[in-house]
Amino acid sequence: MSTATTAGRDARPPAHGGRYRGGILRWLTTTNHKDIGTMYLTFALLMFFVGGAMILAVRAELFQPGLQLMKPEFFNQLIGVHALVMIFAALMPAATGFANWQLPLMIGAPDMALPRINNWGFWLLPPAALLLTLPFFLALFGIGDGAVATGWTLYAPLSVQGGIGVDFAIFAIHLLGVSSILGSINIIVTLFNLRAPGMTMMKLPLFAWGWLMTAFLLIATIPVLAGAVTMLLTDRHFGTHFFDAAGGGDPILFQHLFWFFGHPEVYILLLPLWGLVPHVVATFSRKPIYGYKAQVVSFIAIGVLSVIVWAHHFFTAGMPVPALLYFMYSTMSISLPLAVLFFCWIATMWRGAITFETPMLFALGFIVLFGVAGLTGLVLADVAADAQYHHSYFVVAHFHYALFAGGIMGVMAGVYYWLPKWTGHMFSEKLGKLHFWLTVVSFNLTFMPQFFLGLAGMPRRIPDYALQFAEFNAISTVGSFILGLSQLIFAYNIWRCVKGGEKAADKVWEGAEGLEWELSSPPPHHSWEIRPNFDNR
Amino acid sequence: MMSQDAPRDPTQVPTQKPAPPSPAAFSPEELARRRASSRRLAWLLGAVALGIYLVGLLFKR
Repeated sequence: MSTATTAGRDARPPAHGGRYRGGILRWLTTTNHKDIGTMYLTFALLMFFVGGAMILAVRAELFQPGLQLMKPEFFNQLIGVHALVMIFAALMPAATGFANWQLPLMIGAPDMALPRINNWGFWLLPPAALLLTLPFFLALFGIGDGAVATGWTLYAPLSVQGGIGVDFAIFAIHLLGVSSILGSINIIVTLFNLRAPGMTMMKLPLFAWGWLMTAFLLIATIPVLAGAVTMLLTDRHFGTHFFDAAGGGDPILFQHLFWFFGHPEVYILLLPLWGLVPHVVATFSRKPIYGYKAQVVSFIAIGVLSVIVWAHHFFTAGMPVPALLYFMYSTMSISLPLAVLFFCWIATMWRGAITFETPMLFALGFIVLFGVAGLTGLVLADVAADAQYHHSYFVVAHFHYALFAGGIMGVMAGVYYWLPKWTGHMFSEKLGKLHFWLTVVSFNLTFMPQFFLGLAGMPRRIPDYALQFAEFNAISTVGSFILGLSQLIFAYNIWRCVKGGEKAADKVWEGAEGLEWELSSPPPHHSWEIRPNFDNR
Repeated sequence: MMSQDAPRDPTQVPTQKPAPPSPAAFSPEELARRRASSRRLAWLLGAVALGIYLVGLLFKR
C-alpha cells in the first residue's frame, strides 16, 4: 500500500495554469474538485435550512385545525417550493458535493475530467434557487401572486392556469436540469477515464458505482422532465394544448412524463447514499464490505427497474387493468434488489467489532428507518390499497421516511464520515451523538403520526382539517420543530470542525479502507500527483 | 484490513514512513489522451440527453 504525498497541506492553494485568484474570484472561477465540492455542500446546507424554514411555517399552521397563520394560497406555495428546494437544491447538490470531493480521491484521479464544466454546473444552481424563491418576494411588492402553488409535481391543468410562480419554476427546473446533466456527464467520464492504473470497474468503490447509476439515470430522465415543462410553458404562453383537454390535449400525459422522471428521481437521490452506507458500515464494523458484486448488480437492477414503474404514482387517475397489474408487479419487484442491499449491509455488520461513532449511528438510523420507507412503499404499490392511501398523509410519511431518513440521514452519515478528512480536524463526537438522537427521535415524532393520519383519511396539501386529526397533527408539529432546531447542532458542529479542533489523522477511522485515506487530512490541493499503488488490492 | 481487536482512537495519528519516490499518477501524454477521450464521451452523452429532449418535443402527439 502506498503512502501519498502530504505536500501542499496547509499551504496556500496553488492555481491551475499558474494563476491564483483570491477571495470571491477564487470561488467563482475555481476548477478544483474540492473547492467545487465545498461549494455544493455549503449551498446544500443553506438550502436545507431555507426549505426547512418553509415547512416549519406549514407545520405551525397545521398545529391546530382552522386557519391560523396564513392564507391557503400561501400554504400551497410553501409546500411546493419546500419540496422543490429540498429535492433539487439541498439533497441533489449534497450528493454532488460528495461526488466532487470524494470520487477523485477514491479512484486515484488528479481531478474531475471536465473541471470547467464542473464549475459551470455548480454556478447554475444559485440562480435556479433564486428563481424558485424570488416570486415570494416579488409578491410583497405587488408583482405576481407568489411562488408556484401546484406542489412540486406541477400537475396540469392547475399549472397551466397558475400564476407567474409557475413560469419561474419552469425556468428554474431547466437550469437545475442543465446543471444535473453537466454534473452527470462529468462523473461518468471521470469514472470511465481517470481511474488509477489497476482500478478496474469491479474494483470501483461502491460509492462510485452508486453515483455511476445515478448519473446515467439523470441523463435518461432529466430531458424528459425538461421536455414536459417546456410543453407546459408553450401551453401557458404560446397557444399549444398538450395538456389542455379543452384543446384536445391530455392532462394525464403530463403525469406520465413527470413521473417518468419523478420515480427514477427517488433513486437518483438515494443511489449515491446506498453506495456510501456500505463504506461507513464496513469501517465501523471493521470488516470488508459483504457482497460487493451483489450490491453492484443490485444498483444496476434498481436503476433499470426505476424507469419502468412510474405509473404507480397515479394508479387512481385510471388506466386499464393490465397496466395496473404491470405497474404494481414491476414496482414490487424493486424490493428484491433492495432486499439484497439490506442483507449485505446487515451481513457486513455480522460478527464485526462494531463501534458506534456518529457516522455509524446515522448509517444505522438510515438502514432502520429506510426499511420503514421500503415496507410502506410496498403497501402503496398495491393497487387496491393505494386507492385508499393515495394523496393522503400516509404517502407524505412514506416519502419522508425515504427521503429524510434514507436521504438526508445518509448525507449526514457521509458528512460526519468524511468531514475530518476534508477539514483536517475532528468534529465533536458529543455534539454529533446529541444531533443523532435528537434527529432520530424527533423525526419519528414528526412522521410516524402522519402514517396514522393518512390511514384515518387525512388528505395531504390542505391547510385545515377535521377535528379528529388534531392530536396527531399537534404531535407532528412539536416533533418537526425539535427536528428543525436540532439541525442547528449539525451546522454548529460543522462550523466548529472547519474552524479548528483536534487534528485528524490521515486515516481518520481505524477500520477505513480505500485510497482516500492514504492522502493527508486535509488532502493536498491537487490530489494524487503521485501514482496511487493499486496493484496489491 | 486493520486489526479487528485494536481499540479505535480516531484522534491518534499513525506513524508513517516518508513517502517513497513514485511516478506521477498519469504522464502528461497519458493525461492528455484521457482528457481528450473524456471530451469525446461528454459530447456523446450530451447529444444523447439533447436527443431525448428533442425527440420528446417533436414526437407527434
